[in-house]
Order: sequence, then C-alpha cells, then structure tokens
Amino acid sequence: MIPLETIVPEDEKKKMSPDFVRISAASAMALRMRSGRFTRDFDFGGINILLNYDNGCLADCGYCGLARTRPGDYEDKSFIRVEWPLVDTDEVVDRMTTYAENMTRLCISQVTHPKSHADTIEITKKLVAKTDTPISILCAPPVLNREKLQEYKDLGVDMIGVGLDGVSEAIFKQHRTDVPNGSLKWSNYWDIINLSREIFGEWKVNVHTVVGLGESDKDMMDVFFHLFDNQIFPYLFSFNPEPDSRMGDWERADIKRWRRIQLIKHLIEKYDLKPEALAYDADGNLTSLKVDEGKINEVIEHLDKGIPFMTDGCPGPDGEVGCTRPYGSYKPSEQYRDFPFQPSSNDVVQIKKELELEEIMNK
Amino acid sequence: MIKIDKYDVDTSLFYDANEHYWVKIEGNVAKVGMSPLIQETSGAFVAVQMNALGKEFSKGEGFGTIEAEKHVGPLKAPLSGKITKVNQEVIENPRLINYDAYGDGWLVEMELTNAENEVLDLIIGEDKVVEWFKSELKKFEDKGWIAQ
Repeated sequence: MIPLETIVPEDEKKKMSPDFVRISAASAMALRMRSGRFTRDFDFGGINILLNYDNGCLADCGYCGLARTRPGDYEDKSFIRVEWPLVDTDEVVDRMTTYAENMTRLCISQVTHPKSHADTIEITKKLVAKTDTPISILCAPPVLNREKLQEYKDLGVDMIGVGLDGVSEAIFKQHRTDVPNGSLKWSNYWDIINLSREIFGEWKVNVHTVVGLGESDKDMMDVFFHLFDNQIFPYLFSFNPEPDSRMGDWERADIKRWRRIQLIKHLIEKYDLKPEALAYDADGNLTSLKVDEGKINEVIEHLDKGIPFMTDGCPGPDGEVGCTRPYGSYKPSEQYRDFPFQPSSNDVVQIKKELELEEIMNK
Repeated sequence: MIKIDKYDVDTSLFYDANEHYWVKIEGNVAKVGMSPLIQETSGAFVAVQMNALGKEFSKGEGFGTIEAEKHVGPLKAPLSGKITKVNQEVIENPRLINYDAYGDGWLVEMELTNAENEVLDLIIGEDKVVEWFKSELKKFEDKGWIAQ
C-alpha cells in the first residue's frame, strides 16, 4: 500500500515517465495498489494513468488541477480533486496481468509536454506486450501529428480521446488560450480530432466536453450534433472546481441543466434527435425539446432504466462502457452526476425530479 | 496492542462488529473511534460532519457522515447515549483518522444511557477481538478492498 503521508516523498520527485506514471485513486484500488472501497459496491476495471514530469504540464488551463500557474509544486497538485499516486509503470503492467479478468480498459492520459509522445509509445509497448486490455490514449494535441497518431494505431491502441473541454471557440480561448501561460489552439485541437477520425475510423474517437465552463446549451448541442454526424463520440464531464485553480470559485452547472444535457445527448445518439427538435432563447438556453408522440414511451422507458445518466467512456472487451471514472465529477457525498453503474429505481426517481422534463417537453 | 497481519490492534477495547468502531468505556462514558481496518479501506478521509454535540442518539442511529476519496457513509452510534464531546481536530483535519485511528483520530465521547444491556452486543476480550478482526480482514481481502 502507498502510505498516505508519503504519497509524494522527496526522493520520488524525480521519478518521471515513462518509468513512472500517476494513477487515479480508483485505478490504484482496482489494481490493489491502494486500499479502498466505493460507497456502493460495483465492478470496476477502467484504469487511468497520467504521464508525469518534474516540470509538469506546459499548458495552463483555468479549470485544471495541473495548470502551471495553480499554486503549489506540480508533484503536489491534485488532478480532478483527488491525489494521483505516483507508481512504477512496470508494476502497473504486471498488476494489469494479475487482475486481467477484472480489467475493462486502460487509458493513458498525456500532458502537454515534449516527451509525451515518446513516453506514450514506450508505455504502450509495455502494455501490449503483456495485456489484452483495450487501450485508449487521451491525447495532447499540441505534441501530435498524423505520423504520431498512426504510430498509436499501429501499436494496437483502439481509441483516441481529445480533451477539447470547452465546446465553443470563445470558451476554449477564454480558458485555454488567453491565459497566463496559455498557448493551446482551438484549430490545433480540431485538426487532431479530424486526423484521429481519419486514422482510427468511425466511433473510435471521442471528444471530452465539459459542462459548466460558461458555454450555452446551444454551444453544447451544436458540438454534439457535429461530432455524432462525424461518427465521433462526445463524452460528457461536469465541471467541478479544483481548489486553488483560477476557476476554483466558479459555480458548477446546476443539476437540472446537467441532467437535461445528459438526456439530450443520449437522444441524439440513440434516437437520431435532430437539431430542429430543440429550441433555445436568445442566450442559447434550451427552452423546448420536441419528441414524436410515438417515441415518447420509448424515451421514457430508456429514462426509466437510467441509461442516459450513466458515465460515457471507451468500451471494454464486451462493448459496454469500460471506463467509468467513479466520482470523477462529484464528491462521494454528492448525487452521482454520472453513474458508474446502472442507476437504481430510487436513483431514477431522483433523476426525474432533477430533470423537470415537463418544463421543456414538447413546449 | 497486538499485531494482526500489518495492523496494530488494541485488544483491550470494545469493538462494534458491524460499524467497525473501537469503543473505550470508562464508567458511564464511552470514547469512540474507527478501527484500523475501516480507516485503511476507506482511503484518505476528506470530510467528517457531526452535528451531534449535546444530542442523544439510540444505538444504531446516525450522528453524522464521514467521507473519503471514493466513499461516503453514515456514522452510527455504537451505543445509546448523549454525545458530550466531538473531536474538532478531526473535523478540521479528517486525515487524523488515517494517521492515528486509536489516538488523535477519535470521533466522539458519549454519556451512555443503556450500557448494561447494549454492551453485550460489542466484542471484548483478546481472543474474540483477534478472531473477529481476522475474519473481517479475510472478508475485506476477498472483496478486493485491501492493497496487496
């Protein structure tokens, strides 16, 4: 076990990728590197690792725990509000084989750093040599190009994720470009999304979209329609302020807005909901959702199963979501923003209250 | 204190088998904290809420909540009684429970109201504590909650 008081001891501060990686707390639990349990018991095998460098991520996104100008040493920073223990890459690979039957997906998260690509290659080679677990890369567009993406594909990586996060150019620029040490470019991110789609194929690319960075509902829906039209998955995240980050005191999206966005994204994906079915006010706030009478029961049935409110992520070997990121967007004491398991009937009762669907349904 | 596997277990205390509290009873007063096994399998504690001072609770009744990185659960009174002290240091720094479960990480003190009857439900005595702890350890290992 990693002792709590020595998660980042001094002598580990130069332990960098590719030999060392950070691992999410939930992943460390799944690989039995760290003791722990979830509030509700469920199977979990979606492993997330993060490249680690002494000078950290060179980007400076306003909402991110790893931002350069966030106070504190890089080694001591949290990423999505919990500590990511620093672990030996070989040990992760070995444990992936030991617990192979529980593993559903492994995702390598790059950071914006010149060594990211070479180290991702190194780590991926180690993984594919010893495990059959499907591998995703959550990539850092500034350090990539066509050839590098092709290398990932050739190595056996089957899914590419791009953390666009801000869904409109204005929001992206506000939080990722026009910031103290910012340099990320909206066009570069889309170039990599499009190249990935070309190289990896239909439904093999995902784009992370964050609700609550100041975008309108229309901004969000427009990007969903565009991505689905191009056979690219949008994955949903709910902004949750990282303490001491520049957006540490920002409000989160309220639960009603979040639930509605979850539902509508699901309807676009599964029911071919068209842009004409949605109406907005002058500020881009959703005011109406029109669903054919014949489809309403079908929609309600899906809603009753809670499926639209489950975490979306890259698939496991069985095709079900293999990366469920428990408590990634909320604290254990809060209502599940996205459920890493199928919501119970009691959960669905709560979700329906939160949705207040009657306010917008066929209005 | 004896060593069971890697855990230091104080076998002189009472234990609530279900909620994994240790209970130190002196006269009519009980001091309550978390067992070393539950502190480890909860992960790093991040929040403790107890709006309990001066209030009476029946055995099993919730007197607060405790939250770790990936887990949240109720705090339930191991015995009936009035809570007379709350460890403010733990509220300010919940990790004290992880660092020192038997010492600075204690949770509350209670003035007991039905100790004579209820104490029989707790585990006491070295042999019984060891037997219970080993069996719980095995159960937690089987669930995959313990690092290996």
